[in-house]
Amino acid sequence: MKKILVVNNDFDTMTLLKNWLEKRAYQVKFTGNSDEVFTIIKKFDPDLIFIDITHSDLISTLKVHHENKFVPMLLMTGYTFREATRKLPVDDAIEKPFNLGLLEEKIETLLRKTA
Amino acid sequence: MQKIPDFTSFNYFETIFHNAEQNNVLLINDKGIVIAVNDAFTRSFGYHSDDIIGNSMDVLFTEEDQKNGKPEKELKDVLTTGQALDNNYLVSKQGKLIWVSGESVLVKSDKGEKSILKIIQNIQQQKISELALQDLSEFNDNILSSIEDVVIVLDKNMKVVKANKAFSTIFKFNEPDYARMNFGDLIRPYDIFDQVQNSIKTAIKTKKSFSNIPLEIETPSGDKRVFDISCGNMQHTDWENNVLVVIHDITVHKQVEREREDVIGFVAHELRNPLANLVLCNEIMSEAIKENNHEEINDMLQRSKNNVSRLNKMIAELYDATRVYSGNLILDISTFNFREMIDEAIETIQGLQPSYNIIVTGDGNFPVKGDKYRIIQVVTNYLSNGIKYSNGKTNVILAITHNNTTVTVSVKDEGLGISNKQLPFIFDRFFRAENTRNLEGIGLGLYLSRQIIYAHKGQVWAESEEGKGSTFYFSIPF
Repeated sequence: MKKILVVNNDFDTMTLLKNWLEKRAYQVKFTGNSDEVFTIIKKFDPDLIFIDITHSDLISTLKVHHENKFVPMLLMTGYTFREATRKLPVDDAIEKPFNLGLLEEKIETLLRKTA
Repeated sequence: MQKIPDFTSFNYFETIFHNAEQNNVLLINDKGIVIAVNDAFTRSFGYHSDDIIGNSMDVLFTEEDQKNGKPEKELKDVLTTGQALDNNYLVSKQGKLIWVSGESVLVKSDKGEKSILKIIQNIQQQKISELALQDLSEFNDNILSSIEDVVIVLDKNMKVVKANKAFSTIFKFNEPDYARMNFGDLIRPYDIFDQVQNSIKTAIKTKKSFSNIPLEIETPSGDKRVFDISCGNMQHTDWENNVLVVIHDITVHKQVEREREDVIGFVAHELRNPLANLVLCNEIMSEAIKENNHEEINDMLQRSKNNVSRLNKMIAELYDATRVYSGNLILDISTFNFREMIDEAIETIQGLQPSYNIIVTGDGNFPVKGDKYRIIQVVTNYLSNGIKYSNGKTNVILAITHNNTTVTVSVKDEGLGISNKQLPFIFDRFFRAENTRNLEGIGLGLYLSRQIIYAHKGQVWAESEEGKGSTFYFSIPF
């Protein structure tokens, strides 16, 4: 079972994503606390990190320095794509509100790469 | 046969002398004493011939000229060289300066007596328009040099013919270094697609103006600034084939535009969060319906409702903020029981966040005049902030205090707190504390609260210690 870590600050979004992803046979953990992310990654060892744009500082730290920098990262953002978004070191991105069919596709593609 | 006038006869000169309209004629002896004047002179200078004849010509000069020995010098010049030019001003009997132009010549009588014939024209009107023209041109130059826009005249080959002072604020050249420089060369480093150059060329060729081409230029001080370039043909002047280029700094304007874009982007992002949740709710709900999972259907319905109300609240805030910002907040004033109003606000919050413990202290059982629902909006905003930034602590204390003139409400939480650096700005529009950046909200709540309380002629303030919590206050007069 593939593992996905959801990092966001909206409790509703995180629980709903967990519910929806679990129905698609993924194992899901979530957090809104940037400080917690590193310990969760260590214990949970996710195959994908699905992270919100509000944690953009964390994205750079994870991709550049952390030992898990090879874990694919999918960005969710409510901003229409901007220059700043394009510069973030993520593997792919999806706009809010989600096109769920597209989200499913993107997750599958990213997970296939690491398989 | 036509009779040829006898030019040598004295009568002929006397006729001219008396009847000349334009020429003022004076006869002056070698001591500088006026011997004779014609009518044109008396008309121009306001003298009666008796007033001036027999007097020194000195009176025709200004005091300053007399002090500088000008009359003596003129006399000496004529006596020694036989002639002197007059392009000067003289003084009328009334003390008015009159501009004159003409000459003085030496004449000798049969007896060898030397006299000076001074023939001058009154050019006062001409001089006035000349001076006015000079003033006007100085005035124009002053205007040109005092405007901050760069104004440049280019000839048909785009060479700089003239530019105002501001030129050197954009390009590192001063007058006269820029003269005959090619404007195309000056802007080429910034005019990447040659848009400005080509437009000016077209303007010169077709005699059609253009305006508002934006161009970013790095000024000599090293700033990158955005300018707006306009160009027009100089018609109806001697410079008919030239064009006038005006370069206007729109950097500040552009910054405001960018900020507005940022704010709109931020608001859109915040609005899309509940929208994303609704999409997820609907999807999960449709799956739950297939499975006939009533528990999940109900859960999703409740979440949908919550997210719709979140969206609604944000949109209402945004609309309110726009109205408040443009000064259109209208209060619906009534008299109400203060404590009942507080309880109503707590009920709203408690309905949304039942797990929090809101403790009320103090007495509020008295009537207050104001817009009850706007004040409820402030109280719920303070309470929901207290909860939102509580960092897991569940106690929020609301205290009511009053004196003879005002009632004060404070809302104290034990949450994240705000740094001293940020505290002065928390009631500003779109403010979000750095450490609360990851929590929801558009940053309008406190701004709206402040404006509502200001409209009640009240005060808002806050105290906070980072990591220990914050207390928000407002007070309004009874």
